[in-house]
Formats: sequence, structure tokens, C-alpha cells
Amino acid sequence: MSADDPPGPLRAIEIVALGDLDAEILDALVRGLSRRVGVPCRHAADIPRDALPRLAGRSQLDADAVLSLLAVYPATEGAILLGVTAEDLGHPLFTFFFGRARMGGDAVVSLHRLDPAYYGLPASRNVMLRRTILECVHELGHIAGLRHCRDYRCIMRFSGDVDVIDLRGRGFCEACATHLPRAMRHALHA
Amino acid sequence: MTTAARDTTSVLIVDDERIVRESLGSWFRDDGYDVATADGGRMALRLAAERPFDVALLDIKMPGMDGLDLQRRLAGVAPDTAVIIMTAYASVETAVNALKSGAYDYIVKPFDPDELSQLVRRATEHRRLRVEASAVGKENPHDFIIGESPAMRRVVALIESVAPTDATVLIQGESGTGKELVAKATHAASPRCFNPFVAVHCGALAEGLLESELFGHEKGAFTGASGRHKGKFEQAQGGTIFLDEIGDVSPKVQVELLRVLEEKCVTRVGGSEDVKVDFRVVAATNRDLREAIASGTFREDLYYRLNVVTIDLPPLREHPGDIPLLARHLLDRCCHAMGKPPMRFSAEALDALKRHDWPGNVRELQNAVERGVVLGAPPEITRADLPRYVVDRAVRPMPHTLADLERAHVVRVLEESGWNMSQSARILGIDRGTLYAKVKRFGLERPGNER
Repeated sequence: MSADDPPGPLRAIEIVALGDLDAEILDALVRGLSRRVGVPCRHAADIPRDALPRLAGRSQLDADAVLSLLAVYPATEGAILLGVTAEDLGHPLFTFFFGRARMGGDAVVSLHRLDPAYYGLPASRNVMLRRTILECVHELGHIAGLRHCRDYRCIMRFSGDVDVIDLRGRGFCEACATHLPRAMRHALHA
Repeated sequence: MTTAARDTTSVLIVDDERIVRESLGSWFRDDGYDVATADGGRMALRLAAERPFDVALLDIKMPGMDGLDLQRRLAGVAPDTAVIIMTAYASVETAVNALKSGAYDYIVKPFDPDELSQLVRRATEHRRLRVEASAVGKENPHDFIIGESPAMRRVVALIESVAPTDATVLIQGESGTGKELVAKATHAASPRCFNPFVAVHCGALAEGLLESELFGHEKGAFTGASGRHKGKFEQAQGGTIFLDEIGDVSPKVQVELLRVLEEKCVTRVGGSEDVKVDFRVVAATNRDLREAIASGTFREDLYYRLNVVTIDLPPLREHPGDIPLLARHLLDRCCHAMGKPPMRFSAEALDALKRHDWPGNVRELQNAVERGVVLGAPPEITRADLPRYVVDRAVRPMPHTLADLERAHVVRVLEESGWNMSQSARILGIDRGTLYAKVKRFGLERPGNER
């Protein structure tokens, strides 16, 4: 995430399916995130698989290039775009990201490594959805201007491992909540 | 960007590729780190010289100065910075080279975010522990030697330059100037700091006892020697032996000392076996050893063996500007040791301390301060709490002009020589005629001549 413009008021979240995504998962995600963030979430038009930027020599989407793509996507005024993909997210310098965001901009989250099946465990749609919603809130925190937090109880704790997503808190710690912009605090720190 | 729970760990990223610097910099900033970037070795060295970094991430392949070369140079500029080498290819050779050149670890591109995060955290912790361990061991001479005067700054600078070497040090200074503190500071700032510092007060022991103390003895070496005893040299193995009052050592022990210093091995009293010992010698004296050599009481060869580096400790009267600082330091220490609340000197008390000439030097000042702490009512030590002799001497008006100073000095020399004009003229470095003229000009009269 890089420092761009300061975040504006959060009126809605528009979820953009990047490539092929199970419709049931997408609907469940829209409903779950609506309940969690307290602002309307809706399904915006998908970006087809072929239009997605990929990393050369790696079976991954280029996370930063996806964010650049979302930056020119026609979003509704006052809405944040949240790209969601079933593909793995990568970066020329990093092996993978669960999600990636730009301050005051948009975010992208990958389901790829959030499903227990990725780690050889029985697949679980519920676990994957729970993790995805938590990761979406984490990235929304970045959009709101928050950096990573050292507090294990805070959702802004950095997670390079899926276990951390499961173990860290589900909400913002006091310090991070204080730093949330007023326009987004009500939605994110309900 | 707003930050919660900010981490002030500083990271230097060195890579010739802009995308790497920007991406990695942005990633660390998001994690709360204080980040600086450099596009090559030269810029990195300049940045590292300007400010300390906790961790430096160096790309192994850069045009000009590569990461390993930079790591070696960085160690000279910022030895405490933990270095992580970034490489595109993992190989045993790379790992070995990186670690051999003193790097903390290496990491392969592209980075696993969790691995990178943990590695930098571990490197930061490693760096913190190393700095702490270093601070515990190698003390700063400033912690031992209190004083801001040019004379004391010179002493500290000399300790700092000689401490890391193994050179023998001879400390010269009047009684109470803090020679043992200088010896301890030299040891504490040396690579031997984790080994023993053993002090021997040579002047306090009779010849036979000193030999046994220094070199040890075998069982039955003399009446009462019920077992083998390791001497101070052996006890100082790997560390520093401090030979205080070296000028008072008997000629016989001087010969033995010379042999031990030259051969670095001791023979215990009553024994025949040579024991190899590794030690550094710091010696001290309040006597003029050159005079002792001239008078035949000190061996010239031992003097030159000891006198590799000499540290001259000035008497307190020669750096009176340090008195307030020293007095406050001793006061804090004394209050703490006696369990008293923090105290301060009244303006008059501090003035009296500044005016006294402290013939007993810092030791005398320490006694005066201790008395003040015992008698004084917190939070202030007044003039009345100081020793009488300090206050009495202090009320003598200080000469204000050079002429006053000259008059005072002439009077002092005349009094000390019993008004022997020839002797006084010699001490003052003037001829008798000039001295008579000064006596007349200053209106001085020999005691007993008054009418």
C-alpha cells in the first residue's frame, strides 16, 4: 500500500470478482461483509480472467498491477472497490500476499491460501469465508490509513501465515480505532 | 498515514533496483519501521555514517560494490548494524560467504512475507542484545572519569585510545586523584573486560608477603603455607593486573616483576615450575619514578617496561572547573549509597568547595561530600555541613590579578623555604637580586622583622 490521497467517507463497498469466482461464495461474502462493516456491500461487474495482470513465470496475479487496474475501474462515488480472486496473489519481490491495499484507494484479497484445502486439510467454505472477511477488514484498515499493529489482539496485526489470521483479534485495538478516520470509524469499528 | 503502535526500528535497504527499494521500503513502512534506502554502496556508507541503523538489507549483486564487500565496509562504519544479505539465488556458497563476512543472515528473493518479517525482527533483537552485552562489558571511560576540563578530556581520550590495545600503562598522579579508577576504566573499555581485574596495593605489603601475593606459593613454601596458593598474576589470567604504588616495591621484587613482565610466566614461591599467564599490566604511582631511578631505588629497565603509555592524572587544583560536576556526582552516589533522598549543595557550600585547593584531591572531596550528606538536612547541604578546614580555607580571598597571584606565590615559596632567599630564588627560577626587588615591591617582611 502506498500513501496517496486521504481516505474519504465510506458509503459502500463494491466487490469486484477478479476472474472466475464461485457465485455462492461471492454472495456469501457480500452478505458476511455487509454484516461486519455496517455499510452496504454490493457485487459490482466482474473483471474477466484474461484482463488480469499476471507475474511472468509465476502462476500468480500481480497484486500491485491489479490495484492499478482497480484504480481505473468505474466505481460508484464514495464506494471502495474490493477485488476478490480465487487465484494466488504475488508480487515481483514477495512470494505471495493474502491481500493488498492502497491508502485512500482500493484493495484486493485472494481466497487461494485462505482455504484449509491449500494446506492439505479438508476444504472448508466456512473457514475460508471467515478468513476472507477478516482479511477484507484488515485491508480496509489499510485503505483507512492504518499501518500494521504489534498488538496480537488487533486485526491490523501483520499476517504472513494463515494461522495469524485465525489467532489475531477480529476488531481494531484501541490505538488503531483511535487512528481510524471519523468517516470510516463507524463502519469499521462497529 | 496514521500509525498505531509505531515501531522505531530503523532499516536501511540497499539495492540498485528502484522497484526493490520502493516496494520493500513501502512494505517496511507499513509495518511501522523507520526506513531509508540507498541505490548503492557509496550512498549506503554515507547514510550509515550519518545515523545508526538497526538492520541493513543489502542486495548481493550490485554494480561497483557488491553486497558482501559493502557488508565488510559497513562493519567499519556501523559495527552494531545487523546485516541481512538479499540474494536471488539460494546456494550454500552464498550463505557461507554472507555469514563469513559477518552478516546476520541471508534471504532469497522473492521474499516470503512472514519469513522476512520474522527475520528482521530476529535481527533487530540480535542487534539489541549485542549492543546491550557490549555496553555491560565494555564500559565508557566517561562513566568512570568525571570531568569536562581539557585536562580530564585528555585523560579520557588517552584511555579510549590505549584501552583496546594490550600496551602496558603507567598512571602517574598525586594521592587521591583516582588512579585505580583510571585503571578500571582502561580494563573495562578493553577486550579483556570479561576477564578479571585484579588490584594489588604493592606499598601496603611487606616484601615476602608481596612476593607470595603476586606470584603465589606452593604448599610448605613458608611457615603457615598449608596449601598451594595462586598469586594475583594467575588470578588475573586473561584480564588486567593493576599494580598500585609500584614505586614502593623493593629491589628484589622489582627484579622478579621484570622477569614476569618479560616472559609472561610466573614461578610460585617455593615452586620450580613456570606457569604461563596471559595478563595486561596497568601500574600506578604517586612518586616521581625518574627521581627514584636517579636515586637508585627503582630499576630503569622495569620503568621502561612499565612506561609504554603514561597517563598523567592532574591534581584537582589544576582543574578546579570540574569541582562542581565531581561534587554533584559524588553527592548523588553518596545519597544513593546511604539511602538518603536526593540532595543538592547550597550556593555558598558549592562556592566553598570551588575555593578549596583539595590537597587530598578527589578522595578528600569525597570525604567532604560524605560528611555533608551525613550532617546535612535534605534537600540541601549548606556551608555549615562541610568540614571546617574546607570552609576556613575557602574564605581566604582569591587573588584577582596576576600581580596578586605572583605575590601570593612568592610568599608561599618564601614561607616554605623559611625565607632562605637563595633557595627561594632557585625554586622561583629567578636570581636573588630579582627576588629582593620583588620582596621590596610587594612590601613583604620576614616574620620576626616587624617592629
